[in-house]
Amino acid sequence: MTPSEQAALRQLADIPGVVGSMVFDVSGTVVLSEFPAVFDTAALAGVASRLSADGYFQEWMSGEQGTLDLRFVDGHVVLRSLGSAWLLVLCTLQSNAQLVAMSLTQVVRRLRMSPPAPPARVEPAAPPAAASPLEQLRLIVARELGAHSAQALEILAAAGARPKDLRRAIDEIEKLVRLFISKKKAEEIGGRMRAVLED
Amino acid sequence: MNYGAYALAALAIVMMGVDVVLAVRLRRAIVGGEVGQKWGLLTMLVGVFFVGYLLSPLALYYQLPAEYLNLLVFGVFLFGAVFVWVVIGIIRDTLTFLKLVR
Repeated sequence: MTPSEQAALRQLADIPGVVGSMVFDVSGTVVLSEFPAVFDTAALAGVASRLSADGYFQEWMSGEQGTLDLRFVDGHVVLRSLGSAWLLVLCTLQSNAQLVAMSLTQVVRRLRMSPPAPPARVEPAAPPAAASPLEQLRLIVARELGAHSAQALEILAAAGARPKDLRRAIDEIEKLVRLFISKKKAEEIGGRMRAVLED
Repeated sequence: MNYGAYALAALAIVMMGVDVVLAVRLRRAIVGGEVGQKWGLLTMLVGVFFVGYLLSPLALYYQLPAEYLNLLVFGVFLFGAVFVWVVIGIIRDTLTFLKLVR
């Protein structure tokens, strides 16, 4: 990530009605992100991962001219191809579509022109920092439930960090999934989450 | 001719037609789970009622014998009771999840 790339995303964030933006690559990794702190990074990573793994999305957004506008009841999402990555912008309904489109053209050009990041030095792999149980649970929820993970992530966010609180949160998430998504998925996700706590 | 009864039947058919559309739309929007299954059953019952409602003017027109009419009425009562039972189940599941039940 270069300062000019981050500045380009910040430029977008200054437009009235633009909530945030991020750049993610073909592997689903979020390369750049300019979202307010209230946005859950795991959920954003989940969105990037799901989109980049979708065959239709890849086909539609292939090349440098790929563009996609997703309209929802309370906002819209604009996606632009950057060649080997994609730019995602979340806007409210109050945003001015023409202004966003004009700014996007500039930002996309800046992002494409920015020099490629120097190849990372290959260093002996450091042991990965052990993620907290809460963080692991959030990852499981984001991966397993994808677009339906918002409510479950809220339950986890509201739970405390003590094992007892997390166990209660897991029960609640399992119940949520059983009632509204799938019984099989509930057993699966419940088992995986409990295994994290037992570890 | 019992115009009042025909008018009521027509109104009921229109209302139930709207209910069928709403129930099917919601069924498509629900991801699944126990609530999804129950809503599927509820949608099926709405469909059964709709077919019954469509046939009801014919029962009037052909002056269905009382024995069959009674069977029809009590059949509707039974399906109505099952319908209410399913609705209570969905509401109970939802309220329990939202912790709004004492």
